[in-house]
Amino acid sequence: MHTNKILPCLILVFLLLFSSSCLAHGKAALRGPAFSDPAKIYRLNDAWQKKPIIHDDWAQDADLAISLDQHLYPALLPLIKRFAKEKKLIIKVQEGTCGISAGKILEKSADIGGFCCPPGEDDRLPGLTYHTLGIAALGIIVNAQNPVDNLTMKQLRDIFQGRINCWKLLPGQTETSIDSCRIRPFIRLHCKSRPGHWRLLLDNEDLFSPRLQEVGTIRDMVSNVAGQLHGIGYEVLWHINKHEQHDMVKSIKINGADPANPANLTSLAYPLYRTFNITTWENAPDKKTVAHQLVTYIQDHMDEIDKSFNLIPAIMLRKAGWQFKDDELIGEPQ
Amino acid sequence: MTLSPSKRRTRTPFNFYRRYSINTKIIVVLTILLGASWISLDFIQGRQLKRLFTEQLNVMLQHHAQEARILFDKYTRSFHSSNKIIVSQKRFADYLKVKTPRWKEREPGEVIFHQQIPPWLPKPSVLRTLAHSQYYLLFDSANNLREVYTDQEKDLPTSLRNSAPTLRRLSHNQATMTEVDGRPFMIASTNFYDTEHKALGTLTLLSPINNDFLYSAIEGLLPAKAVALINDKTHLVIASNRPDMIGEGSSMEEIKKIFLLTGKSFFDYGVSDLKIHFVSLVPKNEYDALTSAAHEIGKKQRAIITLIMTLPLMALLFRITSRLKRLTKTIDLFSKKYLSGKQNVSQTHDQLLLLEERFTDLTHEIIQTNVESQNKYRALIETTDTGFVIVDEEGMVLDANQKYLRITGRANFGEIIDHNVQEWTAEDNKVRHFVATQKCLKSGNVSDLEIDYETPSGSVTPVEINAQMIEQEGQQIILCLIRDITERKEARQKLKRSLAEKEVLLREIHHRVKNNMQIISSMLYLQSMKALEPETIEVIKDSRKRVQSMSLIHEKLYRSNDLACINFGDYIKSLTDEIAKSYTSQLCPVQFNIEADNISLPVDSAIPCGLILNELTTNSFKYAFKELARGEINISFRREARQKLILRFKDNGTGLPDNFSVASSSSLGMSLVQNLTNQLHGTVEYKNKNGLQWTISFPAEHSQS
Repeated sequence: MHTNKILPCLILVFLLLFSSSCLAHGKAALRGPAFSDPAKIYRLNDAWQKKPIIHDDWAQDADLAISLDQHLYPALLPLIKRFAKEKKLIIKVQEGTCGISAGKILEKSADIGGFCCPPGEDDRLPGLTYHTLGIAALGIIVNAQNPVDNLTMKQLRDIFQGRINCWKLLPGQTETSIDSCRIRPFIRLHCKSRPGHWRLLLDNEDLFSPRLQEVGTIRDMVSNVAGQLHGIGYEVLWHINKHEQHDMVKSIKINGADPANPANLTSLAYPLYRTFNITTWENAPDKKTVAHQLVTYIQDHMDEIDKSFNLIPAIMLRKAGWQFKDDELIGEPQ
Repeated sequence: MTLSPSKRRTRTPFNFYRRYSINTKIIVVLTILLGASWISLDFIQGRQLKRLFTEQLNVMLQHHAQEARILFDKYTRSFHSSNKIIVSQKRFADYLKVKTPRWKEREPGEVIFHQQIPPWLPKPSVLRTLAHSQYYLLFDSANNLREVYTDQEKDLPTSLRNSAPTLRRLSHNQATMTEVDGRPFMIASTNFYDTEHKALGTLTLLSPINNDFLYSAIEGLLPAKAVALINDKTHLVIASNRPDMIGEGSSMEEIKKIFLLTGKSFFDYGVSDLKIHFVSLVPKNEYDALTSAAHEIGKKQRAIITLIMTLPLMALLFRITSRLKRLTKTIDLFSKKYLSGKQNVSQTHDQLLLLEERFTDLTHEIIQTNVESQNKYRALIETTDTGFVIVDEEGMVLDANQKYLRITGRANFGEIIDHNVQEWTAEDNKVRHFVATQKCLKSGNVSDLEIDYETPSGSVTPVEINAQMIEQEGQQIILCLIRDITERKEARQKLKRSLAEKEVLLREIHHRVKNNMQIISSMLYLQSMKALEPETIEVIKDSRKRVQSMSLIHEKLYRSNDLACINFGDYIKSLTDEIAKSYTSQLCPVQFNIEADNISLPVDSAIPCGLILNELTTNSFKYAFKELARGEINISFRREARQKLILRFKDNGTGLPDNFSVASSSSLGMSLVQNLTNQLHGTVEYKNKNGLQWTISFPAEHSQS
């Protein structure tokens, strides 16, 4: 009698644990990693490690050669120029992308690299240190005429996975509120080997619906959503706002959280963001004091960066309980 | 402004331009302006057209570059997708998992090169649908390159082989662009696993980014559109779809010489360590030809517009010059007719200048005439002995002459100009003066107004004012002629006094004559008292009556206001009364019916006429009514035919004898009648018709009505 009662209970507990485990696994499988393991350093041969930093032609006589992505370049340039003037240094800065910065770092032609993504495992090169400057919201954008202004994270994932392909299927939407039903999501699957960014929405390219339209550039992303009444896409707010058609798109809330509100990001109420890092060399032949001084200078003057770049500085993240290893952001609040 | 014709026409070095007509000059100027405008407009329009074209091309080519880049993006993605498709093919799995791969038979480091499709790749029909790769590399799980398929008769670049692990790391699960041996390559890698998810190896697709690659990537674009990939670091062409024009390795500077480089964008994939610009280009000769064609069209349109605008302008010009000529002629005629007509002979053929000269001459003439007129007027009013003053409607002095200044007794014009005339008008004349001024403003003139002016010293000057109101520039002004009438007034007073004295004297004379005649009458009466014969008494009595009738005239004269004439009607009544009184005791009653116009006769006519009437009345009393119980005498004195006076006398008596004749009568009375009528240059008629009827008519030379 006693055994008869215990057995169903044990089965029930087992089923509950199994289902919760499955759900947890499913959720984890959808959301990609926000950061890579800082302990894993990509191995490169001795010849590479012994190779000194040699500037390219564009920075031949410079004290520092810096390669920055297209978000950090305009944001940091005034501070870098001011620092160079104060220290009487020649600092050459080149605008590029994460890939270009990674390329310069790999070929050892730049003293500092700037990235709009957290480092992937392959980006952690021997002797290279990452300094997190901050994060910025990755806005979900829809056409400005679209009445939708808020989606849950689940709805968003369902849309990009192709499970919801019609606006009227969303709660509160009717056929009349938007002429045609078909949702047209646009994706830009950049930096696939790096964590964070779009991978916080869906971990990998195979999780996205095969019917989505893939674009190659930020410009194409904003242009397509601006030109498509039913379009939806994603991009950091600064890139959206500087686009000539910025008034034809709007960023919407996720789970009721506005991406423009920094508090929503620090509390993770708004869950999509990009991480901005710059790198310095720590190994003896490549280590430059002025490079570290510049990084410190930038970190100390983050509040002077124009607010339109929507950068939430690392100091705020530290206060909000985000995890850091030395200067690098490595984890979300527990 | 003073116009001086002589100064105006001083010769200058630019006088030659006066020789030509305005039509000629405007045509020349218009031609120069049109030419200059044409050249300027051509230059400006050309530049604007080029700028516009450049802007439009820029926009178009930016879109073009974007379109081309989107195609390139897709191709890049498909490069990675192709890799994944190959790995997922059954042929690939069979080769690696089912069959024993060929490299198993070889040593690591020994690479099998395939020039034909190897068994691990899809069949050509499938492979053609995928992105074209120059190299298909198969690595084992230990990162050793084992097999290579390439359609190029080339070995794999050594550096590529050596850096294979790094490249595969960069391209893992994605397509990336990187440089190998200084040349850009597109690489995509995909791991493949056994059934237990154990890595068996990696498939890497690798292709140099060159003209072929670019052509494959953008084959959807029209070949006419030139695009090129530019290395941001070296600024050299990596690839182009028009290698005939844009060769690999061409520098940007070289390209810019023959192309307009407008559209430009670069990749922001984040997985590429190369910064490559995608540019669209337009050959300059095509652009120039297009610009020139548009420019030519613009030129033709400009020419037509110029012609359309110029012809009416010329017509208008000739119309204007024709009107100018007519206007000049009218001025000449006006000058000749109303002014001196002395127009200077002009050397110019310019109608406008000629008109200007004529107009200036005319103005000069008018000014000259006006000045002369003013001088004449001033001289006239200054030389006359009459005061002249112009006042406004309030009586304020606007202008005056010296005489007026003297009349007012003021020292200078400052004391009267802008002063009111009432200031020097005598106190008791001010109202009258004011009323007269108002009357003049209403009726237009005032004549012979006599008032007194008071000088500052207190003396009074009587003046006579004749004024005329005129309107000048919308304002009423009064022109006044002022005469000092002090002497005239004094002379008039003297004359008046003299006249009064003479009147008294004359009245006295008439009175004395009358008195003397009364004395004569009295004397005759006394004489008749002493006469014994009745005839003598009668003669004296008749004489006395005659004297009395003359006395009565003098009495009437000195009693009348006019000492020269007497009202003859009154005289007839008085005379007939007097005569009737003298016969009341001896005769029947006599009725007088007198009808007389209001006629005054001078003494020269009155005395003869009175004596005639006396004779006729006395005669009637003596002879006419002896056998009648009642006598009747009708007397009328009328003016007829303006210059003729008729005295009719009629009684109802016995009349004259049938054979009676005045001329042959010995009666003194009848003789007197006849003689006195002759003295009056008149005629006498009589007839018997129910009594005696006399008609005396004489010219009314001195009579007054």
